[in-house]
Amino acid sequence: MKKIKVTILSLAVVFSVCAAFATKPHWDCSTLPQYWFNGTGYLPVSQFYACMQGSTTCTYYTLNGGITYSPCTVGSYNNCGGCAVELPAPKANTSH
Amino acid sequence: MFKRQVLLECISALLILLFVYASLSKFLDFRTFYKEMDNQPLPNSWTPVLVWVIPCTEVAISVSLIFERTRLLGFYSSLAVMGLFTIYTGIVLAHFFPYVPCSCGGVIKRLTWTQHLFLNLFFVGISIVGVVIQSRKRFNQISVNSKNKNSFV
Repeated sequence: MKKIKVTILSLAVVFSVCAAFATKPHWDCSTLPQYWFNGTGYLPVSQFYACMQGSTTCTYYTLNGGITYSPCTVGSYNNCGGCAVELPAPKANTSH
Repeated sequence: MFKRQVLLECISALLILLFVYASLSKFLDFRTFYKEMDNQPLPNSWTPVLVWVIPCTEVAISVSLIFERTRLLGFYSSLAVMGLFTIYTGIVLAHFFPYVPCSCGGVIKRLTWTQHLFLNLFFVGISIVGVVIQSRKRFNQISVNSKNKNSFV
C-alpha cells in the first residue's frame, strides 16, 4: 500500500510542477488586442492611447473573447497620449 | 478497505495536483498575479498580504495531504478553501460585482465562470468524500487501539 501511495502522490506532484512550468506564459501580452477599463466595462484602446506614469493597470487583454480580462500594462490610461502635440502658432512677423 | 485506501490516495493526489499547480503558476507569473489581485473587489491594501497568503496556503494544504497524520486537516482545509472560492464564483455569476478579472493561475484562467463553478463543485465534492473516508479510517484506528488496550487490562 505504501508503494501505491508514494507512486500516486509523486506522480501528482511531478505532473503539477511540469504542468505549471509548461503553461507559464512566455509571450508578450501587449501583442494581443488591448482594452482599458472605464469604470463600468472594458473598451478597446484608442489608436493614440498611452500609458502615463502610475501604479494602476493601464491596459488589459482577454483570452476568452471578453469573458475575463487580465492586466497587461501598468500606468494610467490616457486616451490621446500619443496624439500629435499641436504646435504653437508662428509668431507674427515683427520685422520692419 | 483496500479500495477505500486507493480512493483516498487518488483524492489526495487530485487535490495536490490542483493546489501545487495553482500555487506554482501564481509564483511563476507573480507580477500578473499581483496585478490581478489588485483588480479584485477587495481593498488594495490587502493585496501585499493576499499575494503571499493564498499560494502559501495552497502549498501548506498540499503538504498536509501527503502525510497521514495531517491528512484530515488537509481535507478540511481544502474543503474550506474550495468552498470559499465556490461562494466567490457564485457571487460573480450572480453579477454582484460590476467587474471581476479572473485570478487563477495557469490554464485555469481560460475557463468561464460557469466552468469554474463546476470545477470548484467537483473539488468541494471530493474534499467532502476525503473528509468522510479519512474520519472513518481514523475512528476505526482509534477503536482498534482502544480495544487492544482493553485486551491487555
